[in-house]
Amino acid sequence: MAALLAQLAVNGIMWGALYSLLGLSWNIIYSTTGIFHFAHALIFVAAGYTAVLVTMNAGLPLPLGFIAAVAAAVFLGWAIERGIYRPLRILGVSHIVIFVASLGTLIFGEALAHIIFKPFPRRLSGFPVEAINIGAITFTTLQLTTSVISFITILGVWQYLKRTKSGKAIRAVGSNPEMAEVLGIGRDRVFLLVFALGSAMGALAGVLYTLDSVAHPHMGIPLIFPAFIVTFMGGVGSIPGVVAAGLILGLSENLSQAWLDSDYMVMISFAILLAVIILKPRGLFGSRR
Amino acid sequence: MDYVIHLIILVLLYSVVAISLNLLVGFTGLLSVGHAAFFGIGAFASGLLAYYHGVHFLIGMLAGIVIAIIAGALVSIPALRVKDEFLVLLTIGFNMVIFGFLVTQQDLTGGRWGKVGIPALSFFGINLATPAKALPIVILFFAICFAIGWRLTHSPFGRVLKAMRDDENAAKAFGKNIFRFKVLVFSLGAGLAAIAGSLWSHYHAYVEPRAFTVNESIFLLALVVIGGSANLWGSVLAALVLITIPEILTFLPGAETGEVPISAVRIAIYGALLVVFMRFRPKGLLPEHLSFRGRKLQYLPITAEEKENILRPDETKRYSGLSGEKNETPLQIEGLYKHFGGLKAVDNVSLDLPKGRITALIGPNGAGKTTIFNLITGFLSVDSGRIHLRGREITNQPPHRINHLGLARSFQEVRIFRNMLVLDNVLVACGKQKGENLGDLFFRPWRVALEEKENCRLAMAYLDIVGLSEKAEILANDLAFAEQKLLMLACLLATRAEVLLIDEVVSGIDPGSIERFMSLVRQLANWGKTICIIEHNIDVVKTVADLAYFLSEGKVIAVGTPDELLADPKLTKIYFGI
Repeated sequence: MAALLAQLAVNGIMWGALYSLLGLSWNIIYSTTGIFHFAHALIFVAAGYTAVLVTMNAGLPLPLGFIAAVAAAVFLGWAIERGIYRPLRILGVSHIVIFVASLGTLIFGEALAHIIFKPFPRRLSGFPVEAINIGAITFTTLQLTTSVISFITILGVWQYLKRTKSGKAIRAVGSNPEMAEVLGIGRDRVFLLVFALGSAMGALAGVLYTLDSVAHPHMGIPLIFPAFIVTFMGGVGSIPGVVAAGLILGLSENLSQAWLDSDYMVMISFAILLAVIILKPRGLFGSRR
Repeated sequence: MDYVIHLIILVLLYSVVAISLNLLVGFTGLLSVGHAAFFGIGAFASGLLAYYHGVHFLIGMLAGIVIAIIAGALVSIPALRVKDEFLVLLTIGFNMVIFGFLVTQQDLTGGRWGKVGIPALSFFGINLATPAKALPIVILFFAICFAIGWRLTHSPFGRVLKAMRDDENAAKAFGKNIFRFKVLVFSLGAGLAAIAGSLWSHYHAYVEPRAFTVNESIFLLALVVIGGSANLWGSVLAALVLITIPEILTFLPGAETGEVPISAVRIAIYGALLVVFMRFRPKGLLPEHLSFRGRKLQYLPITAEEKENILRPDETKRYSGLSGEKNETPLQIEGLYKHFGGLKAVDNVSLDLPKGRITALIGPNGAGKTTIFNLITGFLSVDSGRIHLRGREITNQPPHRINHLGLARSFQEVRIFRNMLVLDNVLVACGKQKGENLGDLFFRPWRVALEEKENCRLAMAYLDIVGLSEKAEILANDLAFAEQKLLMLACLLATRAEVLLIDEVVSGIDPGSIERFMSLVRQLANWGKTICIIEHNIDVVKTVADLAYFLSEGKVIAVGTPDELLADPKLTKIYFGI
């Protein structure tokens, strides 16, 4: 039992790392723009398929697949912000309207992916997957890489937000858009910046997930839910919160498998979120909003 | 032909679910993305009861309604504490949990593939297995649900829902128990969805969890939004459009051969429609205020004597039997403290409001004046200290209860119900109404109608008093800024509260209206109301107030007539900083 739990804990930490990255990719957009960007789920789909097309269909090396996926995701994120959200903001519509438009974009995009790529899962290979054994615990080089890339990215974004001028501008717009505007920080430019940043992180997470699993037209929604949970559990706008919540989510989902069927996983993650929302409505590390 | 009838049945069933969701989303502003769960609860409860126990569909439906109502109430309780975004998440989570439950309980629900062989609809032993035979039953239930939805939304009850949607705090201040209404509307919405779910499972003769996913909830939300939030006919129209148009697509060339996956094309179209609608017609096909009441409203004019009556404190109603000191100072505050972190916003404030007098709170910005109002009316919790209204302690009571006890407030910022008619704004403020009670609403409609007629007359009178009676039938949002402030005043009067707390009502309104306001407030005080104003306009304070408390940094530093206080150079230095 102890060995099983240790193994599940290791799995949980690795999934937790990916959840943290997914969470931050959405959190940074939500905390800065206030848009409930449901269509972010499309970023994962776009990134997964771009990597598959570049690596598997065109036969290029995997790192190029990553780069192309990030580029495609940033482009898509920008297109959604410029083409859909910004015109609605100019009209001055309510949050609900923007939320519904985001949902519509997601539904449209998923269906389009279904039509273009057909509903068949596509594998993405090219990563040298090998098992590493430490005592009774086994994990793969891919799992290790996923965790390392996730945490390094999060650390990098954290430092970027803290130290650079444009990073501070993002935080300024997130905490007080009117004030930032007065200080000459252009809101629309900062929004484009966070959509790029969030989409790029989302692309990394999407490709890492595809390497472990498959690309599929409907892979987006199952990945956006952990992003929501991590964001609201950790606290909107909080990077330590994202990491803590990602790990809690990953660990609880995986450790629960010692006793429960994997079908219960979704129920467990939402039950945890519910508990946090009720007990600590601002999230574990939440301060803003 | 059966195919056409089948489509009609689907449209009617989805109309019912959309109407039930519209109660939450459109009328109450509660964004739910988990409504398919209630639809599913109804379908599974009714379907499985019939499958295992041969229970008649009407009894199964009843069971489904009860379970859905309980589930709806349970979801609504955490939902009371959270904002829009959390509600989205909460309802998605609820939907996922219900879906997970249906999938994992294989022995009961048949798991992922559901149960086939649910007994068909039947009525008095007649089997209604074909679409043509099922149609009358479906029409009947559609009519019942539509009528319930209509009655709920076109009544004082619905007016409160819309008021909560437009401004929750203002609704609380007018004595509406937000908790009660949110729990009720969630339960009612869930119950109506369960009716459709029950019919759905018996009509199709199977139930499967896949029909009740979050995607389905999103589709339902699309029906509401595309049809038009807060418009029941809109929901029906949207169901018609979004269900039949994709069906027509299946007759397009290429559909047969499977070149293009029709189901994906359908979904793409409705996704695109959502975006296009939000961009070009965000209020939907049939907007909320599509047609105003055609007839010009006629009310019996209010006589001068009546006008005086409706402005006087309502002695008959509440406080008879009190005398002496409690009667002379209706509001007494002792040792009130409120700290925000290190900031002492209100620091040991004691004050009394004498009956029939106008008391002003003055002092520089940040002195704690509005905080005191918020503490008295229950919008902020008191750290320590006691507040008595007519000898009765009201410290830390919820805002709606304080309103019921005869104390009403206005807000510093404009808080009106923007997407409601001016008249409806005042009607919301007209105290607790029989039509806000479901029992009276459905079982004693004559009483509701009678009271409503009288309230309309009163509301028109209050509008007349502030000079807005000409604009009773337009949207509050279309009023000019000064008119919106006057509307707030009319609403405040309509509460008929004995103690009125008025927060900077004259800032930003024209001199003529200020004049009118001052004489009105003086008149109210002479008739025995107890009034407290926060005012930065020194002339208004000097003219109208009998007594003033000067506050600075959360403390009362002087009490006296306005003239005395404003003649004190120490105080004017604090006030004006010179």
